[in-house]
Amino acid sequence: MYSTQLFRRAENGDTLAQGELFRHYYPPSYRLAYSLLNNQEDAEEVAQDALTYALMNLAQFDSAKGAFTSWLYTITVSRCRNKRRRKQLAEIPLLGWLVNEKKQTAEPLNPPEHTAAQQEEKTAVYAAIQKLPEKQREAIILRYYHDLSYGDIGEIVGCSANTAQSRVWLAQKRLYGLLTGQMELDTFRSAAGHD
Amino acid sequence: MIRHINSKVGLAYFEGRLDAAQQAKLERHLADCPACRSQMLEHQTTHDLLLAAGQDFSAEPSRVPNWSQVKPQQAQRPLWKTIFHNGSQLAMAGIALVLLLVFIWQLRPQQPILEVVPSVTATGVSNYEPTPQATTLPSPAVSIIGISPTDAAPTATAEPTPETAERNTYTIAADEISAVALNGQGRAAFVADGTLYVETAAHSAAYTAIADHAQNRPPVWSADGQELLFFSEADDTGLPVLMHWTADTGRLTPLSDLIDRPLPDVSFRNVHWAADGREILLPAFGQLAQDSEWDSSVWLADLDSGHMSLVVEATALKSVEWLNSDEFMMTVDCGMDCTIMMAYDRVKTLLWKAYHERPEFEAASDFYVLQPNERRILILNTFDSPQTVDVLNTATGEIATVLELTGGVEFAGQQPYLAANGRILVYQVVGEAGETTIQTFNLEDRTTGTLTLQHEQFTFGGGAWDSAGNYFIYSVTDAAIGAAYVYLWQPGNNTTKLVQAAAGEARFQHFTWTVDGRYVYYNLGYRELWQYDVVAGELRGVAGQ
Repeated sequence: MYSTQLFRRAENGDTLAQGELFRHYYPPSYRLAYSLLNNQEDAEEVAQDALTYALMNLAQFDSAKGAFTSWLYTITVSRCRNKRRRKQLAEIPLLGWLVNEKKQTAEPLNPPEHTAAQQEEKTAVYAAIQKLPEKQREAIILRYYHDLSYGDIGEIVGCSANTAQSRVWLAQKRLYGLLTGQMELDTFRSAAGHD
Repeated sequence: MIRHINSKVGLAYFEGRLDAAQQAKLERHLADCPACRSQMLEHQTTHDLLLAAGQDFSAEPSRVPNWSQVKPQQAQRPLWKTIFHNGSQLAMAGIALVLLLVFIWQLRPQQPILEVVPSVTATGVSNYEPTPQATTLPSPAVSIIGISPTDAAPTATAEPTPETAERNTYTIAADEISAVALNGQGRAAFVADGTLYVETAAHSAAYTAIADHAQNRPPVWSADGQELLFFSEADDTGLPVLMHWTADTGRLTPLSDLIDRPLPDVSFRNVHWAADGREILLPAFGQLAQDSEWDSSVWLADLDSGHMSLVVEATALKSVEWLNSDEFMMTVDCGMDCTIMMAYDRVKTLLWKAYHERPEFEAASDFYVLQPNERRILILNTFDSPQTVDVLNTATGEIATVLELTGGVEFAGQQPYLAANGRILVYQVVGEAGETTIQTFNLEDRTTGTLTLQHEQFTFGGGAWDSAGNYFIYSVTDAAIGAAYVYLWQPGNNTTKLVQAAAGEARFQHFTWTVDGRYVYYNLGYRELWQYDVVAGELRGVAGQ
């Protein structure tokens, strides 16, 4: 976590401080945007836009309400909603998505021990997440892919912690239905380790 | 024996957050309850799959842009480029500007820019005193209602306020409580821990639980105060079902049983009763056909005839609101910095359309309905510098600036709050040094004032006017003290009273007045629901733990 002094310098227009905060906070904002939008260019645009807005409006950030990351995530989620609505993203072929993803990361996404079947299951999970209602999708992604507490999720998407839990719960139930519709039930349970 | 497993317990179980005793109790229940066993297996299966898949889907950016290249693009973008995308638009705007200046010049000698017509509900403000100028405004006398003054004095050096005595005397014990809905007589309805509670009679403080074994959402009263509509997450699809409840029979019916057509397979999110009858507006999200270019729609249902029809389809619908008994307004998001508003009548005629660019995030430059029957829309304009509050007269298309911020301050946080009689606007500003102030503006004599509080630093949490414009109740949180406060401002004598204080991070919110202006309800976070009697000066804990 960065010092209050650095934020104050940035708020007062210190470009070096702003640059340091930008470098540090761009990756988490990008990761969140990418997991919600599933598109590299859109995620880059949203992350840059959200973080620039945050840094240029630091006076509005109230540290008493929560961490800067939570505020940044709130802005990022809202921009992602706008972006999704604007573009009405078409379904992105997941295999293509995975191939693109492999190009971006240093570590291979599909290590040798991963079988084709495992990869297929993971692809199906991500495809099913994309079919969830917006609020459930956000809750699942923030919980499982960004490891946030229900309190943090609530703060970011604008609901109580209990409602965030309820959304994750409903999303799990819906995902089960979506996934069992795509896979044979036995295969599905086997994949999850429930033989 | 425990109740059937809900989201809180279920998630805590397979996320390992239950202690040994709780876990053993839950496992005993699972052994006895096949339904919960089956449900938990589904959730556990999905949970494990999500955990297994999660790591593969975290993408890293291929590069981090250079701030020195990013920042100037944002900061130096000329204003006109943001507004006008090509030269012809700019030329048109130039002509419009000249015409506007001529128009304003013609108006100037005749009358103030804004013509404010007090509504018929303004009888209670006959003894109204103008708000003093900011420079001469005395500090309001702060008296404390309902709690010990020594415990709750809102000074920056005070210790966190202890729990109030009333904290243990809630009528209903619950962990999570919604905002309250009040009918015209003041009868309350709200949701506590997923259960809908309806007051048996106005101000009776006795409540009936509507037990439908579902996770319900806050209800909305009909105009006559005899019916409620609310969303219920009872089924397994995860999509809420819209339920209808009548006070005289106590019957609970899905809306789909009351209308003459199957509900479309889209997500309905909220309900808007017409002010004069049993018609409801239903905004819906989702395509009506697979190849549709629209992702949202607005429906109108008449509960007397059972007829439901599509009014209009839209893209990126933001909000829907009745303007009067015949017209409603919808706003749609037209991009990152853009909102469009349109008004329709009941026979689907587009009455007018307007838009406003907004460069800021969320609350900035947005539309608020102002005096609907006078056809005025309040526009918070943070796009221009200095920032302004404008009023659009939808009958004539005129936009008048009623308030221009000066002294280097800007609008911040909450929306502006205009008294129903149209006389006083309350709004929050932030200064160049980041200091927050709650200001008032009297639209009649055009004087500004400040709600002076004894907090060195605070966050304004919003508020609400009573229907006559006699009181404005609002919340403040003070991080230095670690407490939240409710204040009641009476513009007639310019006094502010501290109504309640609570230690902790939760803020007071969702202020809702009875029509007669005697009682106001509000929540502390989502954990408590309170009722304050303005006449008797008494607080009552309606629901909480």
